[in-house]
Amino acid sequence: MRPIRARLRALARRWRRPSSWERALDDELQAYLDQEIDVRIRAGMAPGEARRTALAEFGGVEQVKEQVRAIATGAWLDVLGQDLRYAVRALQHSRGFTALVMGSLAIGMAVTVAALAFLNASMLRPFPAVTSQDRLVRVAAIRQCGRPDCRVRMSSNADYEALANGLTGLQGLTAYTFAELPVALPAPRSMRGILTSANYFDVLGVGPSLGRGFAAADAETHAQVAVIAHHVWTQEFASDPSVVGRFISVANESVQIVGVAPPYFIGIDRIRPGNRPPDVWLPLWLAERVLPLARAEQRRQERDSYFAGRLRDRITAREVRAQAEVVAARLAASRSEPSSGSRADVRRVWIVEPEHWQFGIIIVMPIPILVLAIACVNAANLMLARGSQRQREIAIRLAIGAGRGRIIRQLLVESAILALVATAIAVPVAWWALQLASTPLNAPIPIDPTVLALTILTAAGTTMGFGFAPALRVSALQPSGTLGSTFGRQDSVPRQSRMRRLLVAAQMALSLGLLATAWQLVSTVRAQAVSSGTPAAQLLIARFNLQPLKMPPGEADRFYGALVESARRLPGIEAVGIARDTSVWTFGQGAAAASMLVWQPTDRPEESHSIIGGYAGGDIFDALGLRVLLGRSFTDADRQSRPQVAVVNKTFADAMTGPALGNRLRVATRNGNYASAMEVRVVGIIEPTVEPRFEPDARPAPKIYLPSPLGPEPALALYLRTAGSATSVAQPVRELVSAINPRVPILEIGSLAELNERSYEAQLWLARAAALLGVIGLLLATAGLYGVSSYVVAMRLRELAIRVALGAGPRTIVRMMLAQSMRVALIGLIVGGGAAVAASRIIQSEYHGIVGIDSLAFTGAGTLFLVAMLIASAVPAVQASRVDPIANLKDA
Amino acid sequence: VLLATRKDIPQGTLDLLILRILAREAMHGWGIMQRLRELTDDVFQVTPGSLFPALQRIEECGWASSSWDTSENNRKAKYYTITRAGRRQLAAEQAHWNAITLAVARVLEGA
Repeated sequence: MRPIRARLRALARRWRRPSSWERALDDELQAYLDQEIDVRIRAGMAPGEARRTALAEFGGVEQVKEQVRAIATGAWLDVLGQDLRYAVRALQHSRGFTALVMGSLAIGMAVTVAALAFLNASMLRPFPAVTSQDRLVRVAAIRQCGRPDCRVRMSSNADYEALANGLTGLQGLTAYTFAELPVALPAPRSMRGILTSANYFDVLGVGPSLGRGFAAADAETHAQVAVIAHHVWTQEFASDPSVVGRFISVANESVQIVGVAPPYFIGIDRIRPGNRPPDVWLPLWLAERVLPLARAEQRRQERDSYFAGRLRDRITAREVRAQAEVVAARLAASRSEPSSGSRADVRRVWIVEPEHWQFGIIIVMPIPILVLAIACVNAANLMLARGSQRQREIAIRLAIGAGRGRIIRQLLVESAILALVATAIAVPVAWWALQLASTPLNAPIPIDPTVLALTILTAAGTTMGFGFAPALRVSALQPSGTLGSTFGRQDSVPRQSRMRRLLVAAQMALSLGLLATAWQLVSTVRAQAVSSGTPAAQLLIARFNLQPLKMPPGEADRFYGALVESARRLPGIEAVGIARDTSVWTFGQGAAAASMLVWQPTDRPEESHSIIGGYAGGDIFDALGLRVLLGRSFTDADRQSRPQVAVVNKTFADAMTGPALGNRLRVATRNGNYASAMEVRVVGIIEPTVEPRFEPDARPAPKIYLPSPLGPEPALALYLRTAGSATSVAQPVRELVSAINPRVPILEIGSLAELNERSYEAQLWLARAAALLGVIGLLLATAGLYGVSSYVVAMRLRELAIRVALGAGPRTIVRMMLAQSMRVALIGLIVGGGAAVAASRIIQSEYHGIVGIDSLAFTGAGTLFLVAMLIASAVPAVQASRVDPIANLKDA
Repeated sequence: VLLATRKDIPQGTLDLLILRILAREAMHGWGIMQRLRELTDDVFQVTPGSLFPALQRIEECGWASSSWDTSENNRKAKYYTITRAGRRQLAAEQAHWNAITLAVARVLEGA
């Protein structure tokens, strides 16, 4: 073995002056040869003869050089430099080819980089602005409460204290809970709030972009402080830096803003579709004042809160879990309620649920990878086409002593340059696209080192993907055959053209599969729209929640009553109804909050059914456009203090034993019981609403409605059927609300069409991106087919010319060329269509968010595909039919 | 006529022979080739294809240094001079070689 130091020295020498090393080697070999020649001339040989024999005995100057280079440390640098120079020169020679390949690859790479960044952002760093998310864990201590399937998370203040002290494996444990809060800025706003323990920002490692987070000192004084979200700061306060120190009113409590959270910070919980990101963070000690306990919480005498902690160095979640089990057992034993055991759950926050992984990997990733694959095939095809044009050059290199390995390396260097430049173009393009995307997706999508590393891997894979097969193929030439006098412009290697056609067919299959998948994805997202008889653009929905305003019982009723009455008198309104929030549609929010307990006459007290429903006031069914199928709707006589009647939808009616109409049911609110339930008679059956089609059993849920008075319902939604556009009525309704009670914020207002779109905005955006990628893929494939078809025409000019000379008309030529291209397209259509059907079956079985095979998507994609392919092959075919036999046969 | 007596020379042995030649005097590539042919009576087939890589290796290992000089017949040539490390290497290799040949010879005689 050579000593390392000597090798390094040699490397440094050569690194500094690589060309002088080559020159020295040249000189040394030349000197050797000159000596040999001198000796021979002195021995009496003629100079020419002396030179020839000396060279013959030497055995090939270039070969000897290659052998020395193989020994020399770092000689690969020179070789690489040589290859690079040669490659750049070769690429400069064919600018059009270079631009085509680079363009194709840049599109494929940009799409892939963007997708990688997106996956990275949503999977590995799901929570913006939170440091070291992989060290954060959710902690839950769970008590089994005697009955089977009854588990309660222990989340009182005492539980928190016990866990915070008992879990020594954590650097800190924070508690938080969610709230919908009425805020006066002074304009009334309904804000999503997170109420946290004082150490929340420290445990999450979040630094505010302005002011400060909560401090331990705040906890001692129970300071009335708040941190507002960045978007609230920019939208409501016009990014005014003096906002820190200002006071706002939260549920009638005056609270001082002490900080502004960093942009996009949402805490450590994903935002469910249809939900808004948090607007404000308040300390947990304000909860008593601003957030009344929900009924379930009142019953358990404790607030629902969540715990999260940061693991100490070298401590695993499993170790902390063991500690938590001990604390949980102690806590469960100290309860007064009967308990049948306890357990603890400690898991990392960024481990996303399997269905999210499936969404990411099954739905998001294949599409960009398909685009990249199509781009690679495009590039490979062009490389092959160019390879056949370069046969002569390569044959010469092989003949004068280049090994096959050297040729392959040379061609791969060219591929690598193409891939590198394409990547260099792709990264900024992807970055720009991601900047655009971060607004609708409400999350930053950075291109961080992880993404860059994956990008480099992808680029390397791409290089091999499009460069290796053509390099193998092209370097397998027999120089003697290629350099012989028969060298012409025909496609001299038939296998090569077969490979090209195969590649094009593969590419078409990919692009068709891609297009159909993307189309299907869009229809899947669209299928989440809900509807009823009233057109979605003519139904205005305004949602309220009066609970946090802590109104006296009668006041909420009066507010809603006045609202319905005065809304009726607005111009352009046809019908007004009011119903429990989410009892008509859930818009992706938990329907559990809007369900009631129902007993049929034959049910025993413990056999309650949980049915979505609630109080319905005004002409709710008329406003929604739900026809009464049987019986009647509510009348004014029904609106007595205690409901006597009910209206059910057809789904519920069908599920009842015996005739539904006239059936007597016992109904209680969710937290009621058999004894406190009211007895009601079913007087009407209405049409069901249309639910999201993707739900596991795509049937509409059974629903039950009771006549107003609205009773203790604080969260209701107003439904207005309008004659014209519902959106234009939104502003009058806003004014109406603030005229009736200026303190009441509107949670959300918009036409059903808008709310539908809002509830799956991010998914719709993704689906549109997928559709765009589908179109890009199709364009790439079209360009690929066009390129290959024109190339085939160019290669077959002589043959075509002979055909024309022998009497083939333009139509015959066009038909022949089209038939060949379309045969390939048809193979692509069949293979791609089959693959797409198979893929959608797999997706459907893995992820039930997908609608069944959408025949429209498939026929639409197939038609678009065939049209594109017809155009791509027709243009070269027409060109082929215009071949001039004289010009093309003359020089043969 | 087959030159059955000409054998490919083992790589390590070629390095040893070159160092032995350089130990007597500094020499250029062509000169080394001539000396090799003389010394081995053309038994080994040494070609430029094996000589120059060997010289490259020897120089990189620091066993010889090189400089450009004018040769006996007034031509520029690259002269290799053995270094102290080269002499140590030569001594070590020689001792190793002697030990092996001695052992092999003993076995062959004893058989």
